[in-house]
Formats: sequence, structure tokens, C-alpha cells
Amino acid sequence: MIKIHDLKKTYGDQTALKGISLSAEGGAIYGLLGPNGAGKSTTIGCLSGLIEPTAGSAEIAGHDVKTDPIAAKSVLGVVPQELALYDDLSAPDNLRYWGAAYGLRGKALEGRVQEVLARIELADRAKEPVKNFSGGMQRRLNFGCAIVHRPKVLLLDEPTVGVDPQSRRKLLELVRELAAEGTCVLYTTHYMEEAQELCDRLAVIDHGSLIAEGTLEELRDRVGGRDLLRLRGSFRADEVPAALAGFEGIEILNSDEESLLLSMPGASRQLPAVFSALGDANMSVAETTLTQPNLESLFIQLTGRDLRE
Amino acid sequence: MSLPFFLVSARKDFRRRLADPLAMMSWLGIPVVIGGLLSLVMGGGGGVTPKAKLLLVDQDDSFVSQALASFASGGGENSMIELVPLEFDEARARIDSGDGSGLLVIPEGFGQAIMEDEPTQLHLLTNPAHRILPRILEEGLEMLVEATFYGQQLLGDQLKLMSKGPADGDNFFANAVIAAQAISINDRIQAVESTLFPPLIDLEVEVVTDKKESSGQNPMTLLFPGMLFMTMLFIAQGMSADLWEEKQSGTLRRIQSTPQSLHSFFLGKTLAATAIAFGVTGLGLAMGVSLFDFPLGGFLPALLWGGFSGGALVPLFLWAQSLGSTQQAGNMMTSMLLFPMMMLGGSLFPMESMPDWMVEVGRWTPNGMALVEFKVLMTGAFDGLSLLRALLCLSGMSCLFFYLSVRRTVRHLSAA
Repeated sequence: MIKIHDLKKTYGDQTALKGISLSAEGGAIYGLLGPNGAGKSTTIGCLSGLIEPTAGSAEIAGHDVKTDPIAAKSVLGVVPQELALYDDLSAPDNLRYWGAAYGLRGKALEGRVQEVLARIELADRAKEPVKNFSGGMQRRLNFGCAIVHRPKVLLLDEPTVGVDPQSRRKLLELVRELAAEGTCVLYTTHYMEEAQELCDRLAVIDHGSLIAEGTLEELRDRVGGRDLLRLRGSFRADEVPAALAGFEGIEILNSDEESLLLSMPGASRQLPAVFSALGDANMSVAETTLTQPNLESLFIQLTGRDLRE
Repeated sequence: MSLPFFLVSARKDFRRRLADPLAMMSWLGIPVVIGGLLSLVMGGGGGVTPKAKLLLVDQDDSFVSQALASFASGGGENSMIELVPLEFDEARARIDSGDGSGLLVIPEGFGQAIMEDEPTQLHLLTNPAHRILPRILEEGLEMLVEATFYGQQLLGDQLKLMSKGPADGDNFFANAVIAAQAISINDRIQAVESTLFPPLIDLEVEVVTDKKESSGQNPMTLLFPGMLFMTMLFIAQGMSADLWEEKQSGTLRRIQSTPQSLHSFFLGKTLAATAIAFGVTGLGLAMGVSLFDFPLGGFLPALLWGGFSGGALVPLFLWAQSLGSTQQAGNMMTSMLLFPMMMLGGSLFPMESMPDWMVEVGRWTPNGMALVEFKVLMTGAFDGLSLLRALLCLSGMSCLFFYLSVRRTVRHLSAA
């Protein structure tokens, strides 16, 4: 359903995408995970026709977005990161308008509007202008406007940013339902928990490059059961490697005078020994955070940076 | 039948405008306020000339008193004094209640006294609540009294004789008496002719009016078309500003991710503005016909032209908005268009009151060109060639700026 091959986008001297390739099938949720500015929205923009790629190709349900954009767009639904609604119109009017933009008319449109309205649980607020809605309700409507025409491919660009937990749960539930109905979903987020909970397959993107790709299990395996140990205190970065040289499999991901980031197997068991080794080298630990293997630890392991930085 | 998307888009924009009545009111309200002020400056709305209502109690009921009353209200419909004959009690009650500018009482024996050159008095009561009209009455009556005095001085003997009537036993004046009096009156007039009638002065009164203004034309007839096109300009500017709302709300980007083109989207906006322009023109013309006696024959052609030209202005303003990189800059660009167009195109001041050079320039502005044709159509007249030329010019301009505004918006969105 989605095929991206060596997609590149440059703005003058700046490169937003450095040649991304991925493919996603119908009925699956494909997560695109990365920090802000990694290139997620640029990828979505290229797929949805908002941004013209500098090089490479992208197909939506077999239609090339460059050479056959109208056919590609007609099977595509896009949930933009920011709300894109007419807040002076009602929810049904918004759904009607965006449904009509995808070619729906008459009874087919009206039937679909009522269906979506019920699905996003806004049927009882149908007569009110959207400006009276809460943020969560507006997010649900924003989602509804993208699915009113039953798209084969749905692109969601961080749809849960700033959404309350209840509305987030509802949105994730709607995404799962659509995937179960056969829709191919490309979901971008920088929330790891969301990606872990929702996505069948994941790609980690940073600085415009795809740095890891696979199922959740495959990615976890890449971390290799290694824990992530964050220490805060007083350190001497140049002496840390020597102080921790005796620990098997330890990897220093990042170190400065106030923090130390380590990747190691069985960190909880080795914690007292680590403290002792650092103490022997006249370095002190004030705060410790231990994270078991997950996507975040994978990202940090791959980039040396926190996903939210 | 399924609507094409540009009509769906037009319906959406039309409904959004209806959901914001305050914006609509401002588009209509500003021209009405400006037009109203200009109408006042130009001498009111052609309403009824104020008249001094003079309550008259004629206790004398003589030839002289009737002649005086007749002089006082001379001029008939055009007179500034409306005479209301009443009995004294009723007249007094009405003037006490403030109904009337003055009460004139002509006492019994007034006519006889005039004829016999004896002192007499007229009683005038004025209404203190009125400022100007009683003064008009006072001045007018003083002139009448003076005229009566000089008439008496001149022809007092003859009047005395006439008032005494024929000699005892006769029902009529003898022919010889009448002839003698006629000769006497003629002699008197000839005697004072050199004093009263110095070399004849032929007073030629010319009411100076603007050469372009037809006589008796209602100022609203002059101001209305300009006001209407000022509204059209505000509508065009307002609808073009919606481009920024669409950008900020994300809907403009969203439409780009659909199979629809921005052309349909912009066309929808232009058509929504056209529908509003039709509504405003229809409303204005209906008011003009009912309140200001605009000719009914021009209603439909003027309506069609007003709606068309109102819509044709929108792409120009959309283009101006698209030149700005921010909403503020976009609005500034449209304002830079709006005010000169209003000034030159006859919307702020009627072309009839503008210098010739300005009219020549103004006629070539889009709104000025449309306004000139609108005025012709409004009167029920029709100049096919001129109308066709304006139609082609406006359509061409509209298409050009439509294309430019879409192109700039696409570029702007791609760069964002």
C-alpha cells in the first residue's frame, strides 16, 4: 500500500530527508518514530502531496505521488499534526465538506457522515459549531474528516499531541479499528509508549535518515536485552572508561561532568559494583534511573540522545 | 445531480460568512455610515422641506385680511409657510401644546382700519420651542406690514374713498368716480415711479448647480452606487482575508492533500463573494426603489451587473493577500489597493463631484469601470458596447489575478 524508495528532500543547503526507503501493507500499523525535526512530517508531506520530493519515489496503493497525484490522493486520508477544521461550522458540515473534497456526494456522503459522526462519538454535538468543542473532541473530528471517504491508506502525523488521556485512548482505538478493517496506517509519533502499544512495524528516524526498522520484537532484539542506566552526579568524563573497564559488556553512550549514560546487561544486579567503582575513582552518584530494554533505549543506543531531546 | 467541488466550496464559504454576521454588518455598515454623512453634507436626503406652520385666526374676515393671509402663504406648495385657519380657542390650544410655529390673529376691523389709514395691530404669538421657523414668520409678516404701510401712504385717499362706498342712495360707484380714481392711482404711481422704480434692473436669477448634476436629483441617487461599490470592495477584501484564516486553521494545507485543486477552492471563495454581492446589490436596489424612487426598469440589469462585478473584484484582493508573507502584510497589501480604489473609483465621493482628471483615471479602475456601467443600468438605460467592454475588462482582470493568486499560494504553501 505504501512504498517509499530512496526519498530525499532538501531545502537549499539543508537536507530534511536523506534517502528513506520503507514499505507498509494494508491492515497494518506502521510507526514512524523519531524526535522533533527528525523528518517524520516531511515524509508525510511528501506522501500526501504537500511537499514535492527532491529525489526518490513514493507510491500510495500503486499510484505514484509525483506522476499520478490525483489518484494517489483519492485513496489517501491525512490527519495533520495541527487541527485543520472550520470551527465556525458544525461537525457534520466539516465532515460533509471533506467528504465532498474526496468525491463523495448525496446519500453516500450523508450516510458516511452519520457513520463517522457516531464512530468519533460526536453525534450528540452535531448541531454545535466546532469552536464550542473541547480539544479532544476537535482532535476526534480532525481524525473523522480524514476517514470519511474510507481511505485505503491513512497517514497520521502525531495526532495525539496535546490530547487528554481519554481522547488519546479513543483515537488509538479508532486507529486499531481502521487497521483491522484493512486500512494501511502510517503513524508518526515521538511517544514511545504509543508506538510500542499501537504499531505492528516500526521505523526509527533521526536527522532525515532511517536508523532502524522492523517489528517491535526485532527492534527489542537489537537492544540485546541490555538495560539503560542513567546516572546523575559528579563525574570526570575522561576517567570514566578506566573506572568501568572491569565490567563485561558495558557501553558508555554519553558522559559529561554531571551525567553518565550506560548500556549494560543485567544492570540491576551490577548496580552496587558500578557505584563502588565510580566511588573508588572519586566520582559520586546522586541519582540513578534504570530502564529495561525498549524503543527508547534502542533510540538512545543508536543515537546517544534521548528521543525527546 | 452531484455538485462540482467549487460549488461545494462556495456553499461552505457562504455558510461561514453567514455564521459571522458581525463581519457582514461591518461590510455593509461602513459604506452606509460614510454615505449617510456625505448625504447630509450634500444637503440631506431630498426629504420634505421644513415649513413654518402658521395658525391663523381671522377675526376680521375682510377682503384685506384675506389678501394678507393669501400673501403670507404665497407660493402654494413651495411656500415656506403653511397656513392653518382656525378659531381662536382651538388655535391657542394648539400653539400652547407646541403644534405650530406661530399664531397670527387678525383683529376685527383690521381691513377697515387699513382702508381708512388708521392705526391697527396684528398679533403674532411664536412657539419658543422652535428656533428658526418662528423667525421666518416674524420676518415675513414684518415685510407684509411694511408693504401695507407704504401702500397706504401711496394710495391712502383712494382706499379711504373705496372703503366709504358709493354715495348715499347709490349701490355702485359712478363711472366717473371710478375713472377719476383710476386716473388718480395712475398719477400717484407715475409720481413715485422714478423713486420706486429706478432704471429697470432685470434680475436674472440663476441657480448655480453642478453641471453634471441633473436638477432635482436626490443626493442618494448620486451616493448610492458609490456606497454599493464600497461595500463590494469591503466584501472582496474580507473574503480575501479569509485566505489567512484558512492558512492558520490548516484547512488550506489540508485541501492540498485531497484530490481537489486550489483552483476549485479559490473559485468557491470567489463565488461565495459573488453570491453575497448579489444579495447586497438586491437589497440596496430594493431600498433604492422603495425609498428613493429609483427606476424599477433598471433593477434586474443592475442587480446582475452589481453581483458580477462584486465577485470579479475578489481575485484581485486574493492576489494582494497572497503577496504578503504574513497576515498583517497581506492585509496591508489589500488596504493599499482598497483606499485608492475607493477614492478614484467613485466610492468615497461621487464621480460627479470629482475633478475631471480624477474621473478619467477612476473610470479605468476595476470598481470605477463597474460603477459607471452600474449607474447607467440603474437608470434603466443600456449601452451595449460600453457594457461589453467593461464586461471583458473585468473578466480578463479577474481571470488574470485568479491565476496569479493560486500560483502564489501554491508556491507559498510548498515553501512553508
